[in-house]
Amino acid sequence: MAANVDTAAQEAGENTLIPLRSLLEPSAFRDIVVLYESTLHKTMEAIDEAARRGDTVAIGRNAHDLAGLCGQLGSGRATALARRIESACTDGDGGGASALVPELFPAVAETLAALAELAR
Amino acid sequence: MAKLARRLPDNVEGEFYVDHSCIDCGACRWIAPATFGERGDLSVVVHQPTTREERIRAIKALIACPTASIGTTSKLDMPSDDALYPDPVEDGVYHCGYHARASYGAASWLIVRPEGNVMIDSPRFATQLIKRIEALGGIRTIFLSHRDDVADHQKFRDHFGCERIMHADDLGWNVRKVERPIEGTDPVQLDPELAIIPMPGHTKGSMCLLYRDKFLFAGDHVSWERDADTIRASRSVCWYDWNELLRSMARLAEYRFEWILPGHGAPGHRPAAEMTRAIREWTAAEGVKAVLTRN
Repeated sequence: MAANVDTAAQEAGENTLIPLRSLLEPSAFRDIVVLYESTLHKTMEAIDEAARRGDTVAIGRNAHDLAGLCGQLGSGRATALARRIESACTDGDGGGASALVPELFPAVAETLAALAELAR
Repeated sequence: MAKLARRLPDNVEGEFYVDHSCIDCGACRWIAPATFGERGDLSVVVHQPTTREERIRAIKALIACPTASIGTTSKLDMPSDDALYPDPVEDGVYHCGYHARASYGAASWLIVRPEGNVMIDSPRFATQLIKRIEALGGIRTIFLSHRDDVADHQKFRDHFGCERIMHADDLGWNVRKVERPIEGTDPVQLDPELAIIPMPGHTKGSMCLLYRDKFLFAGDHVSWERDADTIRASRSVCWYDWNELLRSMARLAEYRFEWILPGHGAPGHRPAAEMTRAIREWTAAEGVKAVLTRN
């Protein structure tokens, strides 16, 4: 499974925000970036809390959202990890999903750092 | 690790180069300004180091680079301890180097003092750095300026058993708990030399740390604009509230300091009166802009 994550990281997709930067007014673009930043934090918070209370359904639902968010931002590693967590939840493997959550932390931190890079 | 095959074409020919993995954090440009410059949205080598000092600075930039995007065409001879981190700034204050990608290459700092060393924000947990910090007396306290620049804080906590300080409003999934959470916006005097100044704006729980009324460890609240020779704050990466940041900045003008040691960008060093004036002028100008925008 780790190989899938590595492959996904190497094949990170396009960041869909990049074309918007030249199309939008700076203030409008900034608003979008801020929205992504706060949504990433809220989604990670929801995943972490769901993992702490063992709520597999909530982990899976939020991992699905996170995979979408990180996919839009071209973050291959975070997207692949979120998909693995979602898949584990779908298979009813709550323990496996929760065990993967800590791996998300550095991957999402890098996604947030890339978002800051885009905003600067 | 930098790859010669991915060397950016704008590098000048020679030993040092930057490859395509650069994220433009700018760390190399302030650590070794004689060697690294900006081309487009990336850093490149604009001048190969020719003196011993330039070469040492270039090696420090290589070590600090959060994405290992700086390489050399041949195996590097490390020139003694001069090129290693922590790198002295002044009066027992050090730059830790080893910037972390997860914090967009933010800098972290170390205060070495008899009362116990303080690390400001977290670098990568690198073996060479750990050994040198141990030789300097370890770490008693980690001050985390805000939630973005926390990198390997847990590993440092586990290794050194140090107390972590962070604002309660910035605790969350990436830092769930610290030994000493700070509440509210009132300043906290840790001891006669160290004061915590909550500065909401960039994030709700952003804080600065003031040491000996001389060094301001600024996190992402305020940085130093080297070309314009003044301070700045970034609205484009203000995640919480710009108007709140302006109010925080106005409060910051009440403090005395000579150094701004920011998370991102070059340190700034000016007489305290000039720092105060820079903060006041910037706050007034941005305040006018904010009012005009509202109207």
